[in-house]
Formats: sequence, C-alpha cells, structure tokens
Amino acid sequence: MDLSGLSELRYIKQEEGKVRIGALTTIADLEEQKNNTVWGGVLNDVTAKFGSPNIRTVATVGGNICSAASSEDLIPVFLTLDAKVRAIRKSAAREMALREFLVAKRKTALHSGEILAEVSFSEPSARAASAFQKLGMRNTLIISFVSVATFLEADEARSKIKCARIALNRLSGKIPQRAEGVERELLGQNLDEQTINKSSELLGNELSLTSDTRASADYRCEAAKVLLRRALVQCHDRIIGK
Amino acid sequence: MAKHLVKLNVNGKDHALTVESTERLLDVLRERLNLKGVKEGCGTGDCGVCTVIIDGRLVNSCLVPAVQARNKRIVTIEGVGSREKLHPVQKAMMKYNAAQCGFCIPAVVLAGKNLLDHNPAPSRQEIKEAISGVLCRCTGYYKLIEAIKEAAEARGIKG
Repeated sequence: MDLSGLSELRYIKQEEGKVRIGALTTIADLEEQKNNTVWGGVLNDVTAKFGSPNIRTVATVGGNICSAASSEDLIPVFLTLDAKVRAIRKSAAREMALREFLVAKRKTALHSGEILAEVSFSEPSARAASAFQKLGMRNTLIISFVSVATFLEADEARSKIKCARIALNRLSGKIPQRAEGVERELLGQNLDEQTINKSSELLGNELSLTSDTRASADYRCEAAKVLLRRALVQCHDRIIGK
Repeated sequence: MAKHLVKLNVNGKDHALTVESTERLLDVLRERLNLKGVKEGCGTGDCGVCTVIIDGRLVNSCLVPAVQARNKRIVTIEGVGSREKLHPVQKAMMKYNAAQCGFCIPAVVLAGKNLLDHNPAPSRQEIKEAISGVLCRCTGYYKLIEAIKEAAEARGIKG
C-alpha cells in the first residue's frame, strides 16, 4: 500500500508547548524548517548527516521510526526528546512512548491495519539543549558505527543539570536505547567539563556492543564515549550560549 | 498485480503510461521512454547514479515507484542542455576533463544543475554536499567540484 499521497500526514507544527511532526514529513522538510529552537537545532544536526540529499527527498520521519533499527538516525534524537508516537487505524487512535513503540529490531508495537501518524514531544525550555553525533566510514550515505543523541536541561542559574537524557543507536541490544545509568549520574551535577568527562567514562559500564562488518565492539565502545563527550560539550555550549 | 494509469511530465513532455504498482521510475524512464542517460548502479539507493530531478529535488529513481511520480515534473540528463547549447555545468565539465568512465556523470550534472537552480553562488562545501549522494569511483571528485564552481561563476558573469 502506498501512503505517500496522504498530505495530511506531512506537517511540522508547534503549538501549546508541543511539537508535532507528521509521519510522512520528509527528511528534506525537516532540513528546511531552519528554526533556532532547541529541537530545531538538533534536527539540523541529524538531517545534515542523514543519507544523502537524494535520500532526504523521499525518506520520511515515519519510515525512519518504523524501521526500528540501529541504523535509523532520528530514533536516538526522538528518544532524548522523550517523544510520543500516535498510531491510527480506521476507527481509533492511540498514543504511546516511542520507547514502548520500539519492540525489537525491525519490530514495532503497530498492530495489523494500523499506521504511524505522528511523533510529538514537549517543546524544550530555553535552558535546555540537544545534540546529535554520528560516526561512520564517510559523511554521506553511511550507516554509523555508533551514534549518540543527548539532551540536557540546566537549572535557573544554568550551573546544575536538572534533566539529562542520552540515547545511543545501540547500547546492549540491536535497537536505539537510552543510557539510563549515565542519565541518573548526571542529575544534579555541575554543568561543567568534569561532569562531562566522568559521564563519558561511566558510559563504558553500560555498553555491551558487538562486532560486525562495520566495526569491532572495542572500537565502537571507544567511539561511543568520545561521541557522548562531544555531544554533551555541544549541549553545554548551547545552554550557556557560547 | 494492479495496474495504474499515470501521467508523467518528463523533460517538458507529457506521457500517459500504464504501470504496475511496483514498477520503478528508473525502469519506466530507461525501458519505456528509452532515456538511457538514467543509469542503474546498485538499485538500492546507495550509489545515486540513477539520480533524476523531481519537482526541483534530487531523487534516486530506483527508490521511487513510478506511481509515486504521478503528475510530477521529472528532469533527466536528456532534458539538460543540447548538443548546440550545453548547460554551463556540462561545458565546465568538458573544460576540466571531469568525466572519466562517465557512468556517474549524468547524475553529477543533474546534481550540479539542481544546485545552481536553487543556489546560484554556492560555496565549495555546498557543492560537495550537493553531489554527495552520487558515488564516483574515478575522479576523486576534485574536478567535478571545480567544474561546478566554474559553472556557477560563468553563470554569474552572464547575469
């Protein structure tokens, strides 16, 4: 079945503190939204590294999410935005957390006759920042060895971490997951270089990666730590307005 | 397999065709409309040599079922320039000897043309990004980038 003509599922809306993105929104649409918000910034990070311009024309947000694999760059980003997804069928709709929607590699919680209609998340506060880092053999048309998305929110003084969310394309399984151990360690800590370096080391405890044709487990593990540090530094710089 | 009547505008000309649900735009262009400048490399969206422009955007025609291109405007290399009057990108590519085996060149020219249509004065980085979806295993990209840069400048001078 071809859904590509359903233009009512192709939108990016920001209203009442929520951001809603239709499942048929293309990656090129996301790329063009060029807004300076926290979520706009991280979507720019991810779209610039997504497939190639040719792919971005046809690839959709819904397609990326429903592929439910570690190669899907949008999933870690949406996990750190604590996104919800909306599934619809003929006479009903239901909403669930993206984390619950992703059941296993290439398996989602969609029932037969249901389609993914929307991904949504709360608009992050002005004291928050989000970032995405990806490493592969080249910049374009590549499935990453490892990718990391981060979201940090600081307290009013912008000195301590009030909320931290970290997601990797792989942590211990074959689908993108949140690194909850590191997230807990970051809570209440000072928003500074020392905290960032420590969290990068702590990530090692949570990783259980495998080797494949793209990279060895050891290399992936080291790269994940470096990318986490880079993404957190980006969040830090964005929060303090560097 | 269901059949569908679709209208495609290819290189400015309207075509009405009956296509199967799973028929790729790539095959319709090559086999039905005899536009052999559209090449097939991998057939899985990885190499970009089957690039065409649909409604002003680059697309790998191997990834698009022909039904999805219904009522759209498609440009292939056959619709760019002519023997008598080459497109500036084609002219500059000849000057720089930018083509070697030539297999990816229709796609690179289309990527360069589409970039200049939207951005008449691109930076070197923007050119690299614009052609990044097309793999070339001969040139090392250097001459391709130089040629597109020169084409932009040549067009700029003419106003």
